[in-house]
Amino acid sequence: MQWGKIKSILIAILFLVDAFLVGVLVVKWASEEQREQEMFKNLQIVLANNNITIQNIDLPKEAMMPQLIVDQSRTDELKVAHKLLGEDAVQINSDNSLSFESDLGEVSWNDSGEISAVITPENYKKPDESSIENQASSLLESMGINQSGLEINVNGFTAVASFKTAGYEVFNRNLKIKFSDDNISINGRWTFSEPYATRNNLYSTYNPIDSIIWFAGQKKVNEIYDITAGLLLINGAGSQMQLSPVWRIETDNGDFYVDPVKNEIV
Amino acid sequence: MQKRNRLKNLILFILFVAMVPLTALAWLSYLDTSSVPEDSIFALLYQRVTYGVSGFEIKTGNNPAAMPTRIAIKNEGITNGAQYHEASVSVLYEAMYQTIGKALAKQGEFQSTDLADLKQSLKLDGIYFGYEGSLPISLLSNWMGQTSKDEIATDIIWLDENGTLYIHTMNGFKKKSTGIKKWDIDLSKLPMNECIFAADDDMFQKIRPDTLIFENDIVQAEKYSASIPDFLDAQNGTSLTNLLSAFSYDLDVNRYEENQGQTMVFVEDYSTIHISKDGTVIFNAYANEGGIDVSSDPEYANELTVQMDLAITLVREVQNSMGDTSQAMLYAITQNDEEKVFTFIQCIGGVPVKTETPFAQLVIQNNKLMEARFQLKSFNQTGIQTPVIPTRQAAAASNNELFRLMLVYTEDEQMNFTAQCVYRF
Repeated sequence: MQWGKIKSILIAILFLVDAFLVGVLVVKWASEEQREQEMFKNLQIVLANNNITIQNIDLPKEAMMPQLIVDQSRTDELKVAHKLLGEDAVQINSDNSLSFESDLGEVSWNDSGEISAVITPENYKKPDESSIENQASSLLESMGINQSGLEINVNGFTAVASFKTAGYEVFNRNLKIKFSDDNISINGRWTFSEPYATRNNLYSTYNPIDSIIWFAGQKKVNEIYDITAGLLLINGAGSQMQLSPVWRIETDNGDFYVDPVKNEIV
Repeated sequence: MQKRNRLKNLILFILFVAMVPLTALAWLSYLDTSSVPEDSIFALLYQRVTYGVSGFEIKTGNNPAAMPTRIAIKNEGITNGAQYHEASVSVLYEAMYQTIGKALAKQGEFQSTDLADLKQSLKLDGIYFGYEGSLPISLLSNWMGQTSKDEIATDIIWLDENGTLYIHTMNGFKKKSTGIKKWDIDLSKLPMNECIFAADDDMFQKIRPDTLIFENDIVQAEKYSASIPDFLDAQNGTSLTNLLSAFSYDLDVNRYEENQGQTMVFVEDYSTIHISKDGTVIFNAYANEGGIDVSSDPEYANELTVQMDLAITLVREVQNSMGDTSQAMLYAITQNDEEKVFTFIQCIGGVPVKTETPFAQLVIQNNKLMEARFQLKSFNQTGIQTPVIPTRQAAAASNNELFRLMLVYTEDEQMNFTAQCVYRF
């Protein structure tokens, strides 16, 4: 049997198949690029009609984001309060919130998962600006907050801690830790439970251009700097909170969060 | 010659190996992921690869549709607990539900008992859960991570230190032995206040013995005003879209007006939705084809926990469509051979709201949701505190040992809701 010839024929066939597949991918990529450029041009025309300019930004592709729910965990909130205030913390009666106080300060979690705390740890001394990140990290660890992917950004004597869910930033979920002369204040919104989805409502695809065009019609800005896909924590029924997909549009008039499902500014 | 042969083998191998990812990429690049069935292996693989294993979970079946409104634990003769305060009760529930769940799931028949027996038992140490409605034990235990087939409905659970479990049914009190006599619960950090059971004090003999009486009682509560969501307001189309999508309706289905424009009727092939300006929303399927499937898997569709999951998910979607953050709570399940009716009430901060018609009633027939009625309203804080009669006074004034005390929001003519302490069977 002439194996040499058979192999040559097979090589030729496989080469043609591979070349065809590469061609398919290149054509697809090129047409997508062209479509995106055309859409960007059309978008600029629509924006120009609304007297809005857009910087030369890389428009994100369609984002596939899940509709998630996260339950408020009162037990974890209670644990954080006790870790901040010590074993002697006593509950202060107040409507719908978990509020505690001790010699070290006060901690209150409201029914939206927002913490408001002012504490003065024993022998507290305002740290150096250069050590704020380490101090914030230690404080968060002592509070039992050590999620994987925890990010800490520092600005002066304030550290902001956050983490992503399902690969997306949750724009309004963060803890601002401010180190003052006499105390440490902690404010912000946090979640502890694992987010979940129901089978009926797992994920959807959202197009940034649709949202920008709708947003342009609202005539709230003159210039758009950037657009980012992410999630926003919104109060839901009972103790549930929804992680709602949004586009964050950064503009000359501040940041706007556009709900791509409802077409409204959140 | 041999060298040439090796080269050919290598090229063949490379071309073949390259073909596999190229085929996959070419196929995937033309695939519209949004059209892939959500339960398919590809969708699950995509979700896992895209979002990561720890991004989120898919959860069904164990969503509690009702929480106790009163929880107490008696330890070495001292009772601590919380009632009608959602935040505190929620923490106590988390700390104790596993013990109660195990007790509910223990094998054994409930035997009838009387009030005097419960009264004696309440003098022992134990754990107490009080619900507003009477709910089947199978559901309660499922929400507590356990399995029970017992369909008896109860509104209280009392597990004493001898391992005897007491419940309160429509036919009186019942008990069974569970053998669960010890529990390891750290009480030191729980948000509780000292209280007693009415059974503990001779002064409170004319009220149901499981009534909780607190030293530091709720003496005033926020007054709420109510507003009706107007889904028919043209400026408010977004809420309407979400409301309709809760029933798998599109915004562009056929519609017509009724009631001189007070009601809009949306029509699908075998079902309708009536949305009225007074907050009434009625979904009605008039043929089996128009019903909403309880589950895509017929094997599970007849299970109460799965039906419950559909009901609570729908109720919460309807609430979310109007931005209502109140807690919807399962109050009762009535059933006959043909249908099950799930009734829900609303709670504000852990205090039930009393209304003339239930907040929601859902009817399931033949494993399909055939009817759903909602009386929607959302509550707004007024900043006004109104006094509430302390439970100690109300309990002392009672004259019927079969009634317990309940805190409830009641409506006045101006649609304002104020908290009141009332007697209830």
